[in-house]
Amino acid sequence: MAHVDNDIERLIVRSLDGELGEDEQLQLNRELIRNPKAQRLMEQYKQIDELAGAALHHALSSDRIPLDPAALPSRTQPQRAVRYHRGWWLVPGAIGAALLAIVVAQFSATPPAGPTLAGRNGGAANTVVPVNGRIPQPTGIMRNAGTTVRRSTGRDVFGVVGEDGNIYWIEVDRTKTFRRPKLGPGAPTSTEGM
Amino acid sequence: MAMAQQEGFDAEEPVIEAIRAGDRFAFGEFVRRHNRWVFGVIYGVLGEHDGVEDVAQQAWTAVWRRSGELRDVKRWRPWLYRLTRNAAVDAGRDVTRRRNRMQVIAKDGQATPGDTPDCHLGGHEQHGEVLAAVQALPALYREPFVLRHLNGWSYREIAEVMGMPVDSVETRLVRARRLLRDCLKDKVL
Repeated sequence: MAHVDNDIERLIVRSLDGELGEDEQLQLNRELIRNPKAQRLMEQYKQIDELAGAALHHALSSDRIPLDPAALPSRTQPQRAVRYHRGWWLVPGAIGAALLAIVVAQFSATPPAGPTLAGRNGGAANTVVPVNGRIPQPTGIMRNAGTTVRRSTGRDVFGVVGEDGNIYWIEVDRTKTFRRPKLGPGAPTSTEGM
Repeated sequence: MAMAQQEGFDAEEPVIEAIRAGDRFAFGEFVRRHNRWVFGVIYGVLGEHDGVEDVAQQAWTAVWRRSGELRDVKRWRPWLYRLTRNAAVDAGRDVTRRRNRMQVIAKDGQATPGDTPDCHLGGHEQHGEVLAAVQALPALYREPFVLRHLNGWSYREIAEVMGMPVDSVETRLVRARRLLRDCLKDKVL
């Protein structure tokens, strides 16, 4: 068989299968008129289709169904459709809620109460009360106390129950920074992990 | 037999629902209507018609047993195709194992029965020659070819059950015919 253009061969096959549009059919008809090789190919394919269809029907057609429905095993329990990931949207929701809780906890955290100036001096050092219209002079030695900075790094762990029943642990590192007045040289040494 | 499926409505859906509810009568009707293309799928995989009925029985039993697993009733056809094809593939493995055993036994003798089928397999009749040629096709091309010629399905319908683009179906059908022509040109064409 001499060569026939692949596109024409496709058109021939699609025509035999009833898959050709009008324009394509016109194109194919024109090709068939001017190209005897294409015409021969179409005849051969048509013959193959007829022979194969008849042979397959002959070999495989059977009116007898291959099983008796009455003899099928009974389904004692109603079949339940497999449920795939219903409520999957709960997972990102839970993660979001956990993260929100972390943020809120972070902002609402206050430094632990430590010794204050008031505590050390036995009075309300941060409150100045005029006496007889004058501001009282402070007693004792005043130093610029400045501040100390303390960082505390910890890890928060949250458990989220997944849809599949497993518990997923979310670990979040957090760093807290505390600023407090620096204690004087005579003050007791801080034991807060400096 | 072309699929009696219109856009948006499939008359088989209530039948499928009945089967899922355990209706044996509905199942019998369903088998009767679709048994031919199930045969076609199995033949397409096995490449021989011996044993097709046995495999169909296994496939239909699986359909009955697992109908509750069908999630989208509208997609019953690809689901049925998949169950059928799996049953055929499993059976095909058994056939291959049997053939291999036969070949080992036959190696001591002269003949090697059960060799890979070629164009010369089959009887002298035209049907036999054509069937042998179809059997000799790679399964890749044979499956859509059988669905097209046994059931008269459109490219779109074949593409839907086989889960492939329509263009691929077309390509496979062109190649199947090309191979068949090469195989049959000196015999029946």
